[in-house]
Amino acid sequence: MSTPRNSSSSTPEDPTLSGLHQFIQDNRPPRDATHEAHAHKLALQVAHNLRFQHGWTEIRLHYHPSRQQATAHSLPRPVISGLPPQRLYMHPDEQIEVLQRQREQGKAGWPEVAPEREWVVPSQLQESWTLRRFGDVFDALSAVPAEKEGGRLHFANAIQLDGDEGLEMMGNRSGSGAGSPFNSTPEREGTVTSNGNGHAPNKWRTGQPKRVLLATLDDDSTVVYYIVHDGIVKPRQN
Amino acid sequence: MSASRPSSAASTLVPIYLVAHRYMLYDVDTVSALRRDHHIIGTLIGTLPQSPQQNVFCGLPLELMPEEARLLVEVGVAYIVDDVKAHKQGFLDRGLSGEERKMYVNALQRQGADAARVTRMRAAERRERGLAQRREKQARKDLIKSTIEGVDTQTEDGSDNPRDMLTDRTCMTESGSVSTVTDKTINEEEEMQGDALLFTSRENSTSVREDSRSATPASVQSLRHKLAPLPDDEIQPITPTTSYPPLPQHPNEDSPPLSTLPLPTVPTSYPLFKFLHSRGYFLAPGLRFGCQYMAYPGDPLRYHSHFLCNGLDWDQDFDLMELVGGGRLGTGVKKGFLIGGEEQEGKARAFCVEWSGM
Repeated sequence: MSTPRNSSSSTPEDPTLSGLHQFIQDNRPPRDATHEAHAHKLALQVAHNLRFQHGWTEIRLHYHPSRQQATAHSLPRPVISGLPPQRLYMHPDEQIEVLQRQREQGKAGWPEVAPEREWVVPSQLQESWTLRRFGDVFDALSAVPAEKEGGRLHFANAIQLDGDEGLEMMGNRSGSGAGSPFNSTPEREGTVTSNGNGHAPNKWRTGQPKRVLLATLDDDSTVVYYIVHDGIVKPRQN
Repeated sequence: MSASRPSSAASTLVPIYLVAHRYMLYDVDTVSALRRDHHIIGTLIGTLPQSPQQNVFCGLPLELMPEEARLLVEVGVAYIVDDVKAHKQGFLDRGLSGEERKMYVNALQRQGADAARVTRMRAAERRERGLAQRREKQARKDLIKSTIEGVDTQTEDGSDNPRDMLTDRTCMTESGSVSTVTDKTINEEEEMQGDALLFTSRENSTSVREDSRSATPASVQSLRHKLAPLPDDEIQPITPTTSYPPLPQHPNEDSPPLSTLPLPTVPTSYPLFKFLHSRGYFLAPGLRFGCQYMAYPGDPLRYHSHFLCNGLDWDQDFDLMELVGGGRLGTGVKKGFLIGGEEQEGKARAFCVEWSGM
C-alpha cells in the first residue's frame, strides 16, 4: 500500500541507486537553508542510519536554531532530532533516584522509563572541530528538542523486513522552519509521542547541562555516536 | 608536632623552590596544609638513588606542576624562590658567620656519630640474637639426644657448632675469666670488647671490664654507657634534607627578598585547570591516561578520578579522532573525557564526552 506521491517533489525511482542514495535524492534541502550540500547529505545519511540501524522514530531535520534560543542567530550545520526506542541516557544521580523509588515500592530491577527526545549533530570523523563550534552548537539548541520544530523526513512507508530492494523510498521534501505545514501523508512509523505536550519535562533534563549526540561518520559508512554534555557531568556507572 | 605549632601556610606565604625548572616543596607541614586547604596534591618524588621506583609510595620532596605553582601564587598563598640563588645568597653572600658555620658542621658531625653508634649497636644486637638462637637450638638438640640416648652431651661431637664455643658460654656467667678459650671465641670476645668501648658514654661511669666477657644482650646495653671517641672514618656523613635550620625559612620584612620570581609559565590548558580547581576538584597529572589532567571529586586517597581532562584554546583545531579516542578511553576506564578552554576573558567552559552505548 503506497501513499500518494507528491509528484512535484519526489524523483522517479532509479534501481541503480542504493537505498541511501535514493533517500538522499528524495529529500532535498529547503530553499531557505544556507548550509552546504555536503552538510545536508551528511545529515541525511546519519538520519538514515538512525532510522534503520537503531530504530529511531520521529526524526526531524533542523536548519535553524531552536525557537527558544533567541540569542543564537544560526545553526552551524543541520541538526537532527529524534526519539530513540529506549531511553538513551540516564544521569547517574537519576539512576540512584530511580532505584531508590523502586526499592520504596518494593519492586526489583529497573522500571520502564520513557525514551527522551535527543539531538544528533552529524559529523565526519576526519573533520577538525574547535571548542567554539561545540559552543555554538549548544548555544543554538534548546535543552529538549521541541516536537513540532524542524522538518520531518519521510522514509519508506512500507516497512519491509526483506532488505532495501523492497522498500519504496517515498521522499518528500522536508519542510523547513518551525511549524511549517506538512503534506497530508500520514506517517506510518510512529505517531507515538514521547514526553507528550502534556507532560512536564523531566527535571533531570532541564536541571542538568544540555546534551547532544555527536554522530561520527567514518569512511566505511559506519556511524558511531557519542554523548557530549555542555558542562561538567560525572560519568555513568557502567 | 604539627598540632603544636600554627600552620605556616595560613599565617605566612609559602615558598615554592624552583630547582632546574621544577617546583619543589620540602616541608611536610606545608605539603599537608596545601592538600587540606587548597586541594593541591602535587607528586611525591622522593626515592632512594640506588633503587628508584615509579609508584605512589615515594616520599618528600613534593613536586608541583607549573599550573599548581602558578595557581598558588595567583591565589596569594605562595611565592616562587630561585633555590640555587637563594642558597648562594644565604650561605656565601649574606652568609653565616664563621661561628655559625662551625656550629652547624659540628651538629652534623654529632648526628653522624650518633648514627654510627646506632648502627653498631644494632649489629651487635643482631649478632647476639643469632648466637642466642644457635645456643638454644643446640641445647634443645642436646636435650633430645640426652633423653633418647642418655649420652653425656658435653662430649658429644655431632653438632655442626664447635662445642667449645657453646660450652664456654654456658659456664661463663659471672666469672671474670674464661676457662677454655678457642680462637673463635677470642676473636669474638675481642670484637665484643672493642664494641664495648664504643658503647659507653660519659654520663655513666660503670666499669666495663666485668661485663665484657659475658655476652647477653643486657650486658651489651650497659656497655653503651662509656663514651670513647669514634675514629673519624667511622662517623657517618649526613646529608641534610633541608637547609632551613641554618637559613631562615621565611625572609624577614627588613631583609632583602630572597630572589622571588615571576609567575611560572604554563601551557594553554591553564584556564581549564583553574576552572576545575575553582569547582573543588583535585587535579593530578594525567600522563598515565594520555590526557593532561585527571580530576578527582575529592582527595585522591578516597576517590577515583571522574574525568580525564584536556585543555585547549577556544579556537584551537583538534581532530575529531582525538575526541573519539579520549571518549572511548574514558568510557573504558569508567571516567568521563572532559575538554574545555577559556571562552571569554576569565570564563571557561567545558564539555564532557562519553560513548553513547548505541
